[in-house]
Amino acid sequence: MKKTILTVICFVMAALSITASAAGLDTNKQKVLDALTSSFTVDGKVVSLPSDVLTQAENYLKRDDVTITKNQADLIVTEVEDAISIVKDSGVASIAALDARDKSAILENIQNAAEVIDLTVSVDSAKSVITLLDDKGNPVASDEGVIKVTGPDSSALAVIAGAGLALIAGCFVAARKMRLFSK
Amino acid sequence: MRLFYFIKKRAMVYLYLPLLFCIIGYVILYSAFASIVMPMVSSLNLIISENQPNHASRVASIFEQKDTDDLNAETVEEKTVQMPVYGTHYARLEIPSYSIKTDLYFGDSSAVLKKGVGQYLGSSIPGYGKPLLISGHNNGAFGGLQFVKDNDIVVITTNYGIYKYKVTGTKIADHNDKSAYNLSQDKEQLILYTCYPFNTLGLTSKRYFVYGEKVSGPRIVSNPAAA
Repeated sequence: MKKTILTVICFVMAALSITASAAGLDTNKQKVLDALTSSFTVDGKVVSLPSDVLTQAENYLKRDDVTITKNQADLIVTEVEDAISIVKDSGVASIAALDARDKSAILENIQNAAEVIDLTVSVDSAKSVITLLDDKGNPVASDEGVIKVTGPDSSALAVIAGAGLALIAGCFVAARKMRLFSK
Repeated sequence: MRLFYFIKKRAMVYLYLPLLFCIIGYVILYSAFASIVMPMVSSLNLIISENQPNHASRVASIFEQKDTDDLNAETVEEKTVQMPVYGTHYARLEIPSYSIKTDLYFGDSSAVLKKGVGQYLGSSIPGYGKPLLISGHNNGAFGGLQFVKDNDIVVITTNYGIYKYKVTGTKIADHNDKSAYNLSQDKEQLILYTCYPFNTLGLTSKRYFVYGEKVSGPRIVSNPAAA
């Protein structure tokens, strides 16, 4: 009896240590990552998520504050598989080549999967950028451009200088109209 | 009486308008040079202040300066490594040859880049054997990248290890040129970049890339016994 209880305790301890691992991936997180990394072939071309998007997902899943239950992992995997079948059925080799209906169906899959783990999806239609945000509004993943702007942004200075010049010109015109410069 | 009349009539020309222009001038100068003046004022306050400054509420940081041999170990267990949240200061980046020292943040939004240099979310943190893509402003810490030469050492200090990378080359490329970086390689390549040319005001389409290969630093392993 004692031996059985000890075995059960050891098993529970081992299970807890797996789910509480800090930067690592437990079984459920690994299941989600495996689903995202899966690839398939269309017309001889391998279709998969870009490596930087997968790294973003991996970095998020490795966070200490992110926990995923088996049920949540299964729901996310179902959504990922749905999205994959949409791309497969369309017969195109890239998401960009999908028609509008398929794109919105995949966006719905992304939103459903995100909702499972309390992430929100922000879509910037003008820039065609999709960003996943955590409950504090921090970006978790985004398909925004990789290379960012790293020079001094002088647009604010230009606006201020323009406004200043316009103001000075206005003052000058007003002064002329009021004949303030005449003797 | 005549003097009073003169002052009243000419007040706009000799008093109000010069005053208005003066105020407008000061506002424009302040707006233009606030970014340069404010750090100087802050530094001065730091010198003359009697109280110890507390920046904890303003900057999310998990980085703690440690000085132990553990940081130079061959491996580090994955469960001891804390994955940073977006916008978190998690490491320090230094290029000793040029006295470049800056905070390294996880994430590379414009807000993050105002504070230090930022790592692209789609690249890995040091130790995973995968590429790191780090950006910084050319009028900030990464202005010094223009002097970096082959074989210079870049040091990234984290809470779990000190990583050294040897510079292997530099390249000028368009910001849309995907051949300038390879994030899918299974190699811990350090890629630093900033806007090019270095002395240009305003936005440019070119970027200056500096590449480095890992020389030392602990590998992150899930099972140290197996490693």
